[in-house]
Amino acid sequence: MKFSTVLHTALSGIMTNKLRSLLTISGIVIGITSVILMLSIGQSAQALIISQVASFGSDSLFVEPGNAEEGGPPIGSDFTILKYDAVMKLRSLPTIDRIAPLVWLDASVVSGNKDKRVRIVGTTPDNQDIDNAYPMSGRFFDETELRGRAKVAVLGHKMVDLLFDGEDPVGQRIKINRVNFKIIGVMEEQGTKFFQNLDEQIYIPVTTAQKEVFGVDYVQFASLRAVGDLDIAREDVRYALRDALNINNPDNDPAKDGFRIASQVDAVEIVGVVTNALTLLLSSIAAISLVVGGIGIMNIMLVSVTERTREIGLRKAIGAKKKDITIQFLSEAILLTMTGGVVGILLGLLLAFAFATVVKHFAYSFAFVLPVTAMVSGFLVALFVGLIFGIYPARRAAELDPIEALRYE
Amino acid sequence: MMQLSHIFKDYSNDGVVTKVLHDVSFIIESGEFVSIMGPSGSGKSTLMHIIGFLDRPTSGDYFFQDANVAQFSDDALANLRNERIGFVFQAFHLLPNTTVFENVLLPLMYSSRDESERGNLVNAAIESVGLSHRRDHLSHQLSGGEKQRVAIARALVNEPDFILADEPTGNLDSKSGASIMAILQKLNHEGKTILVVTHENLTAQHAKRIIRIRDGMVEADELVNNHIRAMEKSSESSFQLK
Ligand SMILES: Nc1ncnc2c1ncn2[C@@H]1O[C@H](COP(=O)(O)OP(=O)(O)O)[C@@H](O)[C@H]1O
Ligand SMILES: [Mg+2]
Repeated sequence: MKFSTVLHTALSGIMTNKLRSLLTISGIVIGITSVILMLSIGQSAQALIISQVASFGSDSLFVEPGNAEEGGPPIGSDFTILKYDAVMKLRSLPTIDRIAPLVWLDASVVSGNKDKRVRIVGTTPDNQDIDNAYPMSGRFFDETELRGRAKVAVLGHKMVDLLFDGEDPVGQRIKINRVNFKIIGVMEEQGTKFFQNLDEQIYIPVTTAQKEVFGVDYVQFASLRAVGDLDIAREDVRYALRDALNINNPDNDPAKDGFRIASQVDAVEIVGVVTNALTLLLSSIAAISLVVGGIGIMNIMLVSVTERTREIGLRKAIGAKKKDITIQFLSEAILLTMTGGVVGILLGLLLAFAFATVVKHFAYSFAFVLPVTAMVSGFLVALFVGLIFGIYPARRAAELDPIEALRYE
Repeated sequence: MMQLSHIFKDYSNDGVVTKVLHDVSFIIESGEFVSIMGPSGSGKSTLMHIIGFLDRPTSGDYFFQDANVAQFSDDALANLRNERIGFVFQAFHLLPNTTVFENVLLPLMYSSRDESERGNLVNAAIESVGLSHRRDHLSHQLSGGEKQRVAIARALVNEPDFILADEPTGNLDSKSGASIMAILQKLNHEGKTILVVTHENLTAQHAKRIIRIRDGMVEADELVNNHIRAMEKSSESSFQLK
């Protein structure tokens, strides 16, 4: 039989019972839809996270409190472990050329009659070179101001609008947690970095932040810029910090340090591991739903074979071979599952697009990703399910005795 | 030519053996119009299925154009059914929700005939049973007589030499039945070999020869001297014989 004939016959078989066909493929549709939806969202999320992670330079190292070398919150460890003076000692390492210990907290900021809660970031002048971000007007605070705990502030780009209605704020004064600060500069636009909007914060010297605003002696985080090989720099930092913090670690076990050192590479690796685990989970859920859908297809095809016993007998009487009958019913099953696959792919794309559109409204640059691999594999899987679960009913149809089939009431 | 020689057919279900055909022998020459007549359950359909390559005898030999049918594979028999035989059944066996045209086209889907030939063959077959005006109607919208004429068109479409009809008038009123017999007589006149299975004497009398079957055995094999000519009596108004 010709392909077009096969297709036409299969199609008319399906169209005779539209509602049943629709119900039959719903399992496949749901399975494929969820695969496409999840993989698309997963890819979007991965792209977003990686772009955010990549906003840290590839020559950066990060030091934070916490025990495990890889991921996980610093549970049970001392989050005050990173003392400012100890961290600043890393400056003397030849493999580190910039260092920015950070403290941050939301504080009340008063300017004229405006009172806003704004993220205050205590840092060092080196922050400019690490983040590759510089003032667009005025200037950043310098080493002298850092050492002298000067009450000077540099506004994030957007803060000009939020606090000064767009007027030039340089030289003006604001109150941060009731402490008077002088504005000496405004940063250029930076966008988001690891989900922080860098344009909606205020930079002050880290020393000032510790003593005058937050009353702490530790830093929450330190960004370092390495020179040369990143792994060598990382080892240097580890030993120097143990030294400076008086940590005794004879086993040389990084998990016992109480701090951890990460890089962009680590973060990307973690994202990869998480994504793979998620993909595996989703794939198994999808596989289950597709098996269930396939069993539904098989069931309906068996019913269809029984219902059409007389038709099968007639076809055999007028010259259909076993092969012809097998192909007829198999192609019907495959057409069913592939229709389910295509509908599922379209539905999944639609939902993923809608999801991305909604998420975009929450500030993040979450972009819809066309999951091409998932689309292709979804289509192939649908075809495969039709083949696997269609073959048995088709063979049963082909094996029917034409005489019995013609007599069948 | 079809030659049956000492054909036996048994069915055994759960150890119970039913002897359906018992030592049946006869020859049907090309161009004949034969009725196989007998009471219900006498084995007529079974015999027709064997003749039509749908079933194989338990023992005995069946020669079709001098070839022993036993040597043919299932696929070869399917090809024979498609190319050499046209079946007509009592219950019509048309596909539901399908047009007259598509029903008649069906045998050509399993043949090696050229795509371009098909439309013409189908139209010619439909015309020869006088149903051109019903070509695009759905099969279940037709009357019983019309359905059986579609079935005959389907049997004819691949231009077979033999038409095997199993109680073709069994589900029809006498008028429609007569028109079906008229068509079969016309086809025989045009050179087709016709085999009609029936339990009605009147229907059987349309043939030129009657083989009487009883309890799976040939009881009589006789020529009909004055067979009924259904042509004059053909009465469905839409149907005009040429
Ligand atoms: N598959 C079968 N198993 C057992 N007996 C059968 C089977 N098919 C037909 N028969 C029996 O064979 C006999 C002849 O059947 P059939 O050829 O259909 O008769 P007819 O067409 O003359 O009415 C009947 O008694 C019927 O019950
Ligand atoms: Mg019968």
